[in-house]
Amino acid sequence: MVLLVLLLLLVSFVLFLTRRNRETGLILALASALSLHWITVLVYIAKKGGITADMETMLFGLRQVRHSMQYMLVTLKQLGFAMAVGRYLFPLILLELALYYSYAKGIRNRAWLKVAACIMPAVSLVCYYPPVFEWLIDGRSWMLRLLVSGTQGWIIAYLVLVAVLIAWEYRGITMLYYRRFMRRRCAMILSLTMLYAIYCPQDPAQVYLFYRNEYMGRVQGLWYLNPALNVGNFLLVIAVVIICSAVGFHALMRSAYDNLREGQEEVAIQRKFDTASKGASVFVHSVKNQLLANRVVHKRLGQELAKETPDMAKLREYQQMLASANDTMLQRMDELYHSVRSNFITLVPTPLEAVCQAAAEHFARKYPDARLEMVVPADALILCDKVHLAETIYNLLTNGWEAQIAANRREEPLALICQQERLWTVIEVRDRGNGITRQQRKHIYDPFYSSKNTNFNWGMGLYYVRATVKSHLGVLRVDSRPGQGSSFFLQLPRYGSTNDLIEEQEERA
Amino acid sequence: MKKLLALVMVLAMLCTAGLAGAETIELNVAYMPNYASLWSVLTGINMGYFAEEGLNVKLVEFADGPTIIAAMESGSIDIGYIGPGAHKLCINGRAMIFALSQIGDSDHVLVSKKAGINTVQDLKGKKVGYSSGTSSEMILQYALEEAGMTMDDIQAYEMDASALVTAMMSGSIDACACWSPSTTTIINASNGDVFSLCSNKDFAHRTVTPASWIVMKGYQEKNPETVLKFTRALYKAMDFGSNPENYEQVAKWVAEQCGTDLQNALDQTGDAAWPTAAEVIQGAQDGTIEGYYKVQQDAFIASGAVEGAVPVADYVLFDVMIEAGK
Repeated sequence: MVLLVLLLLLVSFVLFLTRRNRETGLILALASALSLHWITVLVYIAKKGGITADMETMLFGLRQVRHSMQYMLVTLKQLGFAMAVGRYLFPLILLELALYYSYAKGIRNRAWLKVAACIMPAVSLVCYYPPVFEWLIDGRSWMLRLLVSGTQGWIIAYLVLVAVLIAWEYRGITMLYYRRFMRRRCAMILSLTMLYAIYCPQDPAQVYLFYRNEYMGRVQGLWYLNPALNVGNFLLVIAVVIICSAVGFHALMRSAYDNLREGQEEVAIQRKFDTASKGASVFVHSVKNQLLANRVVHKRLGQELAKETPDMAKLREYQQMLASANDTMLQRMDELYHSVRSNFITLVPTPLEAVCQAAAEHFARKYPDARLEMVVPADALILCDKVHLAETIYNLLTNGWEAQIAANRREEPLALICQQERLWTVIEVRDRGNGITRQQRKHIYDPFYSSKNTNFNWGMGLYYVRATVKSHLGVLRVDSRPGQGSSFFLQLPRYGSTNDLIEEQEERA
Repeated sequence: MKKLLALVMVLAMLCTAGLAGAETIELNVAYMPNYASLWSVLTGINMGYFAEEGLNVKLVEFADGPTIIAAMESGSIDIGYIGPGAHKLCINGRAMIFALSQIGDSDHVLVSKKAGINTVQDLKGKKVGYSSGTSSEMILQYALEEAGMTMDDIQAYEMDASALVTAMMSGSIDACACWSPSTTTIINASNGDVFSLCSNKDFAHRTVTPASWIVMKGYQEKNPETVLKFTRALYKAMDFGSNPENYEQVAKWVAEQCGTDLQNALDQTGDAAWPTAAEVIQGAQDGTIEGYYKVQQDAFIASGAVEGAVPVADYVLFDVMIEAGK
């Protein structure tokens, strides 16, 4: 148990170091409060004894660990207060975490709620400061009962509130990708709470007021030394905690790692792009090939014209070849220029449906035979540059369809699904191609990177997509299963609905 | 036919063995890791006296008597051993005493010469550690009272018995009140700096310091026969352990149980006068033991630890002590 508690603390610390934000900070604080509570309980048990050899092995592992805790130099008042700190901070931090996860209208961004949550723990900690506690209960056994029951009451209330908030939030998430992530977070929170619940009903003042008549069996039992769980059940709880924590922390670590990698990629991409050597090389190679091909056509054209009676059919053929090559080059240069030029985008409230429709039409022109399924909320508005965003979605649709062609799945439709998800408007482009390998994922956003033929593709599509999403203050995420397909998620800040816009315009009028 | 008969006999023997096994009574017995607590119960286990009575004793270690009583109240312990300090809880009706273990002299007030303490008066303003609710608190209060002082005259640090050892050895406190074998450990580790200022003997005119075996009232009412069997086995063990020729053997068992060296256990054999069964039975019959407990109760009342006098027979089961001797 000592090892498990320390391991949880270590993992949460590593998580915080990997990604420093409010969520990981709260998780670290939560694990710290839990560790403090458990370690102080274990020190108390080590000092007082009263456990079987099996239980001793399960709680402390080695006898030397128990021995060092038993002889730890700490007064009972210090130990009791440290236990109280862990006991009262855990539910507070848990509630703060639940409030952080909550996107409910009445809760989100209500700073006073976060402050109000601190009141009961703060009052309890003041009351449980040993000199204050002794003064409060001196000659007032009713006060002792009030404090013991009152603190138990608000702790239970906080835990119930957390359960309700998280269940409510989970219920509100409709997209499987986000639901899965939330489920893993819930598993981690549940496992930490399970550990906390084992000893949380016990009153910490008992440590330094153990010999008072009120405590000796009247107000409380001897919970710390008489655990509610036997060794078998304890082991079961430990197994559940390890599994749930591993799942939750893995999800959080993966998310943190993605963000870390994204940051690193940002630097790397910029560096690569600045040097532009690779890009220039690809550009020169591609254009040179095209020019060489044109020279061949020119040569044939010259030879034909040098004849006394030129073959008009051949001449027309050569002329068409040159015109086609010229058009292709111009189109590709336009696309390249479009991708790399310094953009000034203008964000205006735009119906999401209009953006998706523009992207779909562009896509249909390029691939008239492609099947596309669209699900777009009719009244959703987003703040965007319509041309750029439509071009971005078009890029993703093109990539997706080409992936399906490569996987020989032309008969299956490509999907463009838009949803309002908590604070985001999410645009998902889902294909049924071959998916993206782990190795490919490291490079897909690199400029001039392409898994296709570079004579026809300059590998600027996803670089452009990513840059556009970022300029829209959004986030780009990818979820891919090799052999089954990929989903690209464009998370853009949620703006509102067309109804809101109409109302606003009416108000202005 | 012979085979069938043999099979029937084997099955019958197995059933008999099963029934015999079912008759064995499992007992969770609480102890403290010192010679005084273990001398009789370990002898009873190792010599097979409890097994002879059909008892399977499972020992559970605790730091002090009040914790043992709390554990008994919660139902996890059936029978427990307590030192002198926890007897006030028995007087207050929390547990019943059914056997005297010994009259001890293992509590001491230890002081550091470096802290400039040579008399009890020198404790004024010093950091003194004690273990609340135990004989540690009791002897410290007696020492202060004899010198005309109270707990308010010292900087009192309430610690558990183990932390007292660490605190004294690290010099975090100037003095402490504790019991054997912690006293020996502290004195031996101090290189002559720490010495005993006073012990139970110095307050023999005020109180006696009995250690006893206790049981919850409810348990006694439901299982009087089990308590009687335990006491009978304990008497046999006391007869063995009180014989000086067996001190070393008992000390070996104690050292093994506590994980200490043999010498440490042997040093504790002088912590008390170890009574024989006959002495306990005789004392219970002629009122000597009642006298001990009465003196102790009066001392508790005088110190304010117990509010009012109660008949000793209300919390000491003399009939068990006498009945077990028959």
